[in-house]
This record gives sequence, structure tokens and C-alpha cells, in this order.
Amino acid sequence: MKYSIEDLMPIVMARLIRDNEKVFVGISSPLALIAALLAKKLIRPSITLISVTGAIDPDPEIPPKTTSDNILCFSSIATYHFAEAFDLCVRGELDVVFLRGAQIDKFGNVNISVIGSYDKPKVRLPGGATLAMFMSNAKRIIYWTTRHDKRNFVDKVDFITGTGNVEYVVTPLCIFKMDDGRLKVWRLMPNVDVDEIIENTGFKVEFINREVIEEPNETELRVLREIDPHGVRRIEFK
Amino acid sequence: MSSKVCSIEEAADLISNGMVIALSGEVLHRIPMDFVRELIRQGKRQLTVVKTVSGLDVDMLAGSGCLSNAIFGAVTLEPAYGLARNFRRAVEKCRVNAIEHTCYTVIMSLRAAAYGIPFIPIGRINSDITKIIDVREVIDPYSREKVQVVRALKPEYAIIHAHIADNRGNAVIEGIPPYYEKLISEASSNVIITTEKLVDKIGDQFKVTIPYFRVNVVVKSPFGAHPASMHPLYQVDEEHLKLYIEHSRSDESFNEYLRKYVFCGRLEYYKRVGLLEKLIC
Repeated sequence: MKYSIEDLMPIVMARLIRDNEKVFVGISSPLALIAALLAKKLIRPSITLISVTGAIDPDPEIPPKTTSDNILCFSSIATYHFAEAFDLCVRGELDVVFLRGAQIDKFGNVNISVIGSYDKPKVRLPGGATLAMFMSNAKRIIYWTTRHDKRNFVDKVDFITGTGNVEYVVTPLCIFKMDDGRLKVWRLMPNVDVDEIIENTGFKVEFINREVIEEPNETELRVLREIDPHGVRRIEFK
Repeated sequence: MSSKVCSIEEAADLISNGMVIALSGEVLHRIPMDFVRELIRQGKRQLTVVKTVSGLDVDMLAGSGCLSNAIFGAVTLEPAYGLARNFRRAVEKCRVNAIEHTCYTVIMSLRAAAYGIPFIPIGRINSDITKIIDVREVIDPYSREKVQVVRALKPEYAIIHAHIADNRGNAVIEGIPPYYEKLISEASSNVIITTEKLVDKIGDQFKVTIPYFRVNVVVKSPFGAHPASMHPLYQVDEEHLKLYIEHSRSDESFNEYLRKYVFCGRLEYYKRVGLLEKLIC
């Protein structure tokens, strides 16, 4: 079955979730929402999905375009509040948080606050929402970005919005894994050349191995399209 | 039992220049936009807005010159609609001071105010944000270990958009957990309720989210979150939102938006967005 990078990314992200984990999906996270819904439905039914809207295990007919849309609560099996989810995380009970930023360096420091100086920024970015607390307290951070280039993968971030507990970084080119305090390439996306990764990364690229990720199977693609018939997963690529 | 019902003009008139206000909802959902538009019409200045994740509300206040400080976890319209352009421009041109928290520290600071205590220990945060918001470290007197603390944050007014309120001020927020609305109602010195539906009496005391004695005034505000959503009553008005975003590309075009949709007056706004008939029904 044919597939695109918009299909591959959420499938790959879903595979990184483990059985019985409590998984948090925040605002501005369409790909993470689709990945978590896919994991819950197909490969990891034992997980608990906690949405920033308060929805526990939402199962929407059509996922909303904004992941802060509390319409998710109407298809959930219980409701919580994001402030309670923060407390859960501080107590050490939150397993996985999906996060994304504008810049990341090889140590896993993330910036989504400003480009340039904080007081007189060249670009004022949205801000981290709760990224700083999650990175300090969640067991595992799965970071994703739809852009893999030297502006996003930098030698040094302009501002440390958050740092800590990054386990994987999923990009359209590869998956980095934290190893010995450094992000190193762990899997290549299909049909991606090693040089392409090196050319588009602002820090020196190290490799754990050069294995290629398993291509999506028919079931993954079918369920993905059922879950997301209108293509919410494509929003971040526009 | 005196009625607390007043007009939106009277309610907005309670907000003085330079005040610190907290607004209900998140991003594009359950936000008091009708009230925000009235603040703009009254030409408020130097406001500080407190919010976890802001969207349209803070963007609009930033674009109309009402805002001096934003205390926030994030300000965004989400990837589906992009950056909050008025806010971004206002910060980059140093017209608005961006005080970036995390949503968690906004909650903890408000909790301290709601609990009536001056500061509160927080879960660890490793971030440059700790310098921006003055997170400090103290010694836990019990374990002798270091713990981070944040100061209480007590807004002068909370403005909360509710589904139903009665004329004494009892307010009901339906469906979705109203934890944040409840929190800002307890943390703030004063509370303004804007409501989709105004009734004489809430029949069911167990439904009341915010009891009357915490509330100063109540304003009838049907479609008060428009163009944002108020589930289950209405969803985001995507057509109008796109028009707003298009206008938010520059100061000039945003001024045109304000002229056409805000300074035209409240009824005229609802007429121009095609909701006047529903409003009268």
C-alpha cells in the first residue's frame, strides 16, 4: 500500500508507546493525537490517553483540528483536568509526553520561546505551555518535528524552554535516540540517505546504528485512515 | 436578593487601566470574547492578562493596544491556524511584555492565591523560564532539601464565560471539567460572569460551579465566546476565524478588522457575523 510521510510519522510515533503507559497529548499536537489514538486502537490498547482538554481515552469519530478542542471530552470515557494531569506528572506517574519545539540541540535542550534574545526577540514563538515541567518530570519525552533542517536541529538553542528526559526524536528523516546524554541516529526513515541527515542537522551527527525503520503495514495504514479520515495528520506539514 | 445583572458596558467599566485580569477557557474554546471586544471598545490600556494557554483573546487585546503584560504558558492559535500574529508583533516591537511561565506555574501561582498563602512549592522545573518568572529556591524545613517556589498571583478580576447563570450570580459551566474557571474564581479578588443563558434561578444546586457570593456582576452574553467555541452549544466559526487571521497580518489590516467588527458596536458585530437572528430567538 502506498503511503506518505504524513502517514509514516504518526505510525512510527505510535510504535514508540509501550503497554500500560499513561500518555499525555497537549495543545498544538495533531500528529501526537493521531499517533496516540492509533496506538490505543491498534497496537497498545492497554494505554491510557490523557488529553489536555481533560478527555480520558477519547475516541472521536473525526479528530478536531486543534488538540485543545474540548469536543474531545464528548467521546471520552472519563474526564480529568490538565491541572490534575500536571500533578500526576509531578508525582512521577506520567509515563509519556509528546512534545515539539522550534529548536533542539544534541543534548535534548528544547526552545519554543524566542528566536534571538528573550527581551528583544527576532521571533516571538508561542511558548512552551507546560513543556518545561513535563521535560523535568515525565518518565519519557517523545519529541517530534515535521521539519528536519539546520534551523531546527541546532548546535545551541537560543533559549532553554525545557530540558530533560528526551528518549526519542522523530523527524521526517530519522529517529534519534538519547544515548549517553547525546541524541544519536537510531533508525533511518525508508529511502533516506545518511548524507541527507548529516546535511540537515546543525550538530555533529552520531549513529547508534543505520537500520531502516520497518515500513507501515496495511493494517496500520487502514486503521490510521479510519481514525483520521479528514487528514488532521497533514496539518503540521502545511 | 438583589440582582447582579448588568450590561456588558457596565461590567467592562469595572476594569480600570493597569489592572491584572484572568480570562476563562483555552486557545479557541470557552473564552469571553464578547467581553474582550467591549474592553477594546472602551479603549482600556496597560492591562495584564493571566492565562494558561491563550489564543484569540490575548491576540486581540495585544493587537488593539489594550495589553501591556501577558502572563502565559503559551499564546497560539495552534498549527491549524498558526501563530498569534498580533501578539507576536506586539512582543517583537516591545509593545507587550511577554512573561512566559509554564501552564503549570500559572496554575500553582493561582493556587497559592486561592489557598490564601504567599508562595507555594512546585515540582522541579529545569528551564530558562525560571529566571523570567522569578522562581526561587528555598530549603524544605522538613527534609532540608532544596525546593523551588513561586509567588502567589492574585488577579484583580476573573472574567469567566459560563453556560448558565442566574441573576444572583450562581454560574454553571457544563460538561467539560471547569477546574480552571473554578480556580480563577477563587484566586481573583473579583469575578465577572458572562453567560450564554440567564435564568431566574438555577434549579439544581449540584450543578453550580461558582456560587453567587464569589461573583460581582453577571452579564447576558449569548454567543459570547464567538468566534471561538462553547461546547456543546457551538463550535469554532472557522470562516470568521480565517478572516480574523487574514486581517492580523499587519497593524493596518488589523485596525481595519477592529473598525469593521469591534468598533461597529456589539449588535452590529453579531449582525455582521450572521448571528443576529439566532441571538433574538
